[in-house]
Amino acid sequence: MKALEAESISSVSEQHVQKAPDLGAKRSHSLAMASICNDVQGAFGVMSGHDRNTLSLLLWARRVALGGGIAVLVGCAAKGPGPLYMWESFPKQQYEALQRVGYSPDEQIRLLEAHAEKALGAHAALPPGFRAHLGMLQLGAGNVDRARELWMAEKTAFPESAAYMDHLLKKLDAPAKSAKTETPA
Amino acid sequence: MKLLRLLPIPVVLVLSLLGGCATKPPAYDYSAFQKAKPATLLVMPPVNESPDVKASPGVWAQATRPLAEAGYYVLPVTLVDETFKQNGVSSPNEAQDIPYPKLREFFGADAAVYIRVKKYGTTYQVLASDTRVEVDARILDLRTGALLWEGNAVASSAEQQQQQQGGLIGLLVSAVVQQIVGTATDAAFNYAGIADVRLLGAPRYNGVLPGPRSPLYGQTPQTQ
Repeated sequence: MKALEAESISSVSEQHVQKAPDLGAKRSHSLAMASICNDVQGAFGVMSGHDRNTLSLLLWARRVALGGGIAVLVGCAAKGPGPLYMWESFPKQQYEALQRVGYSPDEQIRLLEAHAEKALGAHAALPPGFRAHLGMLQLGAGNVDRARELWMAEKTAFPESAAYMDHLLKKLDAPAKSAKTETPA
Repeated sequence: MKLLRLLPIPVVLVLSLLGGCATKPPAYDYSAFQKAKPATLLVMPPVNESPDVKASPGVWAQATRPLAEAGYYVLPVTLVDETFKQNGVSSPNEAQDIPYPKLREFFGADAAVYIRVKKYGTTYQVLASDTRVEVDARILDLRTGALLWEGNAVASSAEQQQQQQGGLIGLLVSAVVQQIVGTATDAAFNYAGIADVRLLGAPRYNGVLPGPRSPLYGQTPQTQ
């Protein structure tokens, strides 16, 4: 499952980023110094002056400083809380659906429902558009009622979506024009 | 402690690193953005100037996460795509030419994000390959047509190669990039993810302001 693999990988890098702010700016700076210092020593070949403990401390500091450094790069000192939503492979699923080829809506429904369950278990919020996208897939699979439920749920979770969801729901319930499909128009 | 004795050298290095941040372009004028206070964003299908047909879906699909994490409601791109198609709008260029009041009427969004993909994909040379994604974006207020923000970003596998040349920045970026490379058959999609975070993530210097769902909403824009 490539999609899931890629996702777990990208969430690993996110964890680094989130961790960094906890260190506090001062601490991560000083650790960064230690790290750079370590590199400089290496370059000048003065490593021999250190005992084992200092060396391992420096290596540790270097590892931690790397985390801080990534935060600096990602946001040029991004100080933020953790993610607002549980993303899993949702962007990848949207990517595949946008391409309209080489993906199975049924498989995607299965993946996204598992995702929703996981989020429920973890008390994590589902991303904007998640329910709406799943609703679209359900509609494509002929489950009109499920689609309606999910679009209503999108509205409840994100009142900002109301105008667009109402627009879609209106079309869904218009008797003649309910033949919305997955395939390109 | 031995570490303390070594401080002067790193201090200089860290200052030079910070200096890299300090020499950034002048601070963005956020007055229109702050006045508009958008909450709902419509990400338009990105216009693609690269030869890769996956550029537009790749950059589009990756745009939701940074904007949502920045505190905005982002309309579901797959449904937006469907709506455009059903209304006979078949290309990103066509979509981006639609007058803004019409978009507002259809989607009810406060603002629209117009992305352009300038480079996307992998170029192969004799000794190395480079996967590169270059994007820029404008955010327009759909109620007034006013420009709220614009910016650009790049993500490239060459960042990892810099590390092999010993650059500190390259070293740090590669820690992120390394984990991605080699696992995906569709490498550019991952770089699209990095580019979109750099383009649309918040808070960033001169970047998009945090939106209403962010705990950072309403704070003064980042100035360093």
